[in-house]
Amino acid sequence: MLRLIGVELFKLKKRWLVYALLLPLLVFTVIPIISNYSNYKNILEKYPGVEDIEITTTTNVDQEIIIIVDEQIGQDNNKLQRWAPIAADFKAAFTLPGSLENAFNSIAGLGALLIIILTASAVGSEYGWGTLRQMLIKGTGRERYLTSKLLGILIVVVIGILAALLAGFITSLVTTAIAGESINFDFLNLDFVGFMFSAFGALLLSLLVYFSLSTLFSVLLRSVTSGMVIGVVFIYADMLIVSLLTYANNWWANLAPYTIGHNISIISDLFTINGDSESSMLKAISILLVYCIVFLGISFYSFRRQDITTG
Amino acid sequence: MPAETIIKTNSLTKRFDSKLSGILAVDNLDIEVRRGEVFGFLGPNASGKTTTIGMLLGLIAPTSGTIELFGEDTAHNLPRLLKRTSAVLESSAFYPHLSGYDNLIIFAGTIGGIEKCRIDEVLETVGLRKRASSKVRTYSLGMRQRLSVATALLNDPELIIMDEPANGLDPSGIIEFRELTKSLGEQGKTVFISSHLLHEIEQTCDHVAIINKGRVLAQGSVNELLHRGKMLQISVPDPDTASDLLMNLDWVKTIEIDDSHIFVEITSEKAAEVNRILVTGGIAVSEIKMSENSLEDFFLDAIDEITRKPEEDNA
Repeated sequence: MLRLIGVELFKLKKRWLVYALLLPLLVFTVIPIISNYSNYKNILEKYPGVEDIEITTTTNVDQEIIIIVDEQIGQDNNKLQRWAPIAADFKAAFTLPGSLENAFNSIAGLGALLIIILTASAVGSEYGWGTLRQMLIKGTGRERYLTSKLLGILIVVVIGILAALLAGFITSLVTTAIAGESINFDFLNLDFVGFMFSAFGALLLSLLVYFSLSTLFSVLLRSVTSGMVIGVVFIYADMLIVSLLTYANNWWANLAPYTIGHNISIISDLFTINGDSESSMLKAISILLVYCIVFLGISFYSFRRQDITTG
Repeated sequence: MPAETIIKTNSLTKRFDSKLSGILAVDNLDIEVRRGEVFGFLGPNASGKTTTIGMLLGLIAPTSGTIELFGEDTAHNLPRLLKRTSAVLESSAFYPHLSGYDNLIIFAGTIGGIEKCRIDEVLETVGLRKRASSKVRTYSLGMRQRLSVATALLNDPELIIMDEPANGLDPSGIIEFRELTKSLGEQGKTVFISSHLLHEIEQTCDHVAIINKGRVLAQGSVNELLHRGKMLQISVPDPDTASDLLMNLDWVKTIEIDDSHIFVEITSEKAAEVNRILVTGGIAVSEIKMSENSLEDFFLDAIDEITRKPEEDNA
C-alpha cells in the first residue's frame, strides 16, 4: 500500500494544478494577517497613543463589557476610547497566537473549494485520460488503488494545510516585528498544543466531508467536471438550505442540525483559542463522520462494480 | 502432453444494460489459449473483441460465464493473476503532461519490484530511449503505441494481451510491431492479439479464433483453418459434365461450379486421380491446381454464414 501511495504522490507532485491550488491557499492565509497589521498601523498613525490604552475585559452574564482604564487620556478621550478595542482586535489578529486562529478560518473557508477541485481532478482525470484502465490491469486491486489514491490526496492536503499555517506563522512574526511589538512565545503551553490539535482535527474533518463528496461524484459520473461542479454547487446550496431550514416554521427546521454546513459551523468554534466547546460538538463531529463514511462507502461500492469501458 | 491452458473462457457472456434495451456484446464465448501460442482474436469492428479483453483483464464484469487465467478462476484471484499478465490496450492511454520515462516510473511503481534499469531496457527494446524525457503529449500515435508495449514488457509477463495493436501505425510501424510480436512468441510468451486486420493475424499468429456478434465462429490453428478450405481448381470446357462425373466419388467433399472451372474439396494426393477420371470420361482438362484459401476467404465465409443464417431462419 505504501508503494501505491508513493505512486499517487509522485503523480500529484508532477501536476501543476497542485501548486496552482496551493498558491491561493497561501495567499488567502497570509493576506488577512497583513491586512490586520495594515489596519492596526493605520489606526496608530491616525490616533497616536491608542496602543498605550490599557484594555481590560470582563464579562457579566449577558455581554462583554470593555472597560478602558487610563486616567491620563486627554481631550480625545472619546475617540481613543472607541478605537482602542478595535486596534487591540487588529493587533491580536496579526500577532501570535491570534494570527493562527485567523489562519485556520482562512484555510477552512477557501480549503473546501480547493479540496473539491483537487479531488475531482485527481480522481476524475484518470477516467478522462484513460489511465485508469492502465492502472487497474497492473493487478493492484480496485479497493487498494482507490484507497491509495485518496490517501495520496489527503497527504497532499495535510502538507498544504501545514504549509499555509507555516506561512501564517512566519507572516505573523514578520508583521509583529515590523509593528515594533515584542515577539514572545509565552502562549506555548499544553493548552495551546491542545488547541492546535483540535483546530487541526476540526479543519481536516470539515475538509474531509467535501473531499468525500467530490470523490463520490467523480467516481459515479466518471469525470473531473462532474465532481467539481457538483461539489462547488453543493457548498453554496448547502449554505442556502441551512438558512432556509433554520428559519422554517415547520418540521423542516428539525432537519437543519443534520446538514453539513450547520455542523461544520459548530466545529469551526474549535478554530478559536478558548472557543466555546458546545455540548453539541460531539454530535456535530459524529454527523460529519457519518457523511464521510456514507460518501466514501458509496464511492468504493460503485468503483468496485463499475465496468471500465473507457478510461 | 498438451501445453498448459493460459486463457480459458466458459460460456462468457456480457450484456450491457441500457435504458431501452440490453446490448449483447459477448454471447456464450468459449476460447482456449495454450502456453506459448500467439493467438489471434479476429473479428470485424464491434464484434465483441474489446469487451472480451476487458473481461479477461477484470475491467468489465461478465454477465455470466467464467474466465480462467493460468488455470485459476479470475473471480477470486484476479489481482494475483494480473501480476503475471500485461496488456497493450486500444487507444493506449498515458499521463499526457508527463514524460514517457515518468509514465513508466508510475506503472513500474504500481506493479512493484521493478528496477529502474528495467525501464531503460524496455525503452531500448521499443526504440524510445532518445525520446524518453519528452512529454507524452508530443508523441505520435506510433510512439504512444511503442510506449504502451514498453509498459506491457515492464514486468516480463507470461501472458501479453494486445487490443488492436496495429491501429494507427504506419506500414513500417506495423512491420516493426509484427517482428516484436513474433519475438515475444519465440521467447515462449503467450500472446493474445485482437485485430480486425486479417492479414496481420495471418502473418503473426499461429492460432486464431474468429468472432462476430459476440460469438466464436471458428477456432484452431491458422494452418488448420487455412487447410479447411483447400480446393482443387480445375479448368474444363464443360464444368457441369465434369461435376456430374466427380460428385458420386466418396472422397469428394464438395463441388462448386464457376463459369469455366470447378472447385473440388479433396486432399492434394487425389489430384492425379481426379485428372485421370475426367480424362477417361472424355473431358479435356486444360489446367489443374490446388487453390489455398487465405484466412480472409475463410473469415468472410464465416461472417457471411452467420449473416445468412438469421435471414434463413426468418424465411
